[in-house]
Amino acid sequence: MTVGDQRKSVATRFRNEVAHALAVDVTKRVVYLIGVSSCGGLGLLIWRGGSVPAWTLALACLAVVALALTLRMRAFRYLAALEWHETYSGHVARALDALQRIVAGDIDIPIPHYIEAGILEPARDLITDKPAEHVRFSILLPRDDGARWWMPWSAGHSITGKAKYDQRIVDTLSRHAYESGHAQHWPDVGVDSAFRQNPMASHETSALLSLPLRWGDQTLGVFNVVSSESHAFDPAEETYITSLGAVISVAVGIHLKDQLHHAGSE
Amino acid sequence: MGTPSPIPQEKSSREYERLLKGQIDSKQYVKSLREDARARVARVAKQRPIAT
Repeated sequence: MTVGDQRKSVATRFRNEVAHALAVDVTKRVVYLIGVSSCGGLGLLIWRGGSVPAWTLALACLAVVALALTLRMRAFRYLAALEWHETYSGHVARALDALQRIVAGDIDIPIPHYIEAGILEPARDLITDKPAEHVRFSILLPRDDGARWWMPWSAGHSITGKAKYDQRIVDTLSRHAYESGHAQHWPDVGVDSAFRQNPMASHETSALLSLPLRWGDQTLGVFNVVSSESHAFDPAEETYITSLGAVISVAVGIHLKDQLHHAGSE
Repeated sequence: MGTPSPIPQEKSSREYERLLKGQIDSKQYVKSLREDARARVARVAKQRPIAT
């Protein structure tokens, strides 16, 4: 499948979803009209002396109204899902555009600030569904010895927790994404016997998405998203987080390359 | 061939620059992002013909 075909297929799917929502909307209006007018007429009939056929028709009207409400809910769900897709893609588009302008020198801000303020914090606000849910984003890079992690950038972690983060790579679930170079998803980390809660963490971890940060054929580190709720990430959120991981990979790669360049020139 | 017209800049695009400069917080930016997405979906829903 070519890129053009893929784009066409995504566009067709989007168009069909909207068209379906609209078709449901029109059906809903017609059904409402029939239902409400029939119910009014039959109500009068029953009030003035109900008969078996009248009651049967009244029940049929109620069924029609129930069907209309179901269709309305379905249309609402379609549009709500589309709005979330648009929100996620809007953020990824803004982040990519800004990265290009930072690299070109149009926007004068350091890449670490861009990663935390421009990507991690808004994404955390978007991903957190429930008031009680605690979502945390982190980027882990191996220390110079290559055996332990440090956490240069995060959102949702305490300043102390971030500064003191010093886990052995082999003891963390993040090792899988780092070693394999492939994204990993644990909907419920509790079922993995290898998982150990971080004693320093302020909130428990229940779901984990761990993505490798790649620069060419090298894995620089991992991008982790954890939630205090199990099964917290739906497929749309998975796609969104994966897209952000790709943007972060480029940003971290450029930043580390710049640091090496500066260290070499000193 | 129709006359091309520039895609209008959305509010969230300007808000993103303000977010990077530290002039607003991420919650305000997320709010404008959601508003733009809602308006875009409403626009598409009005423009697309109903599939038969």
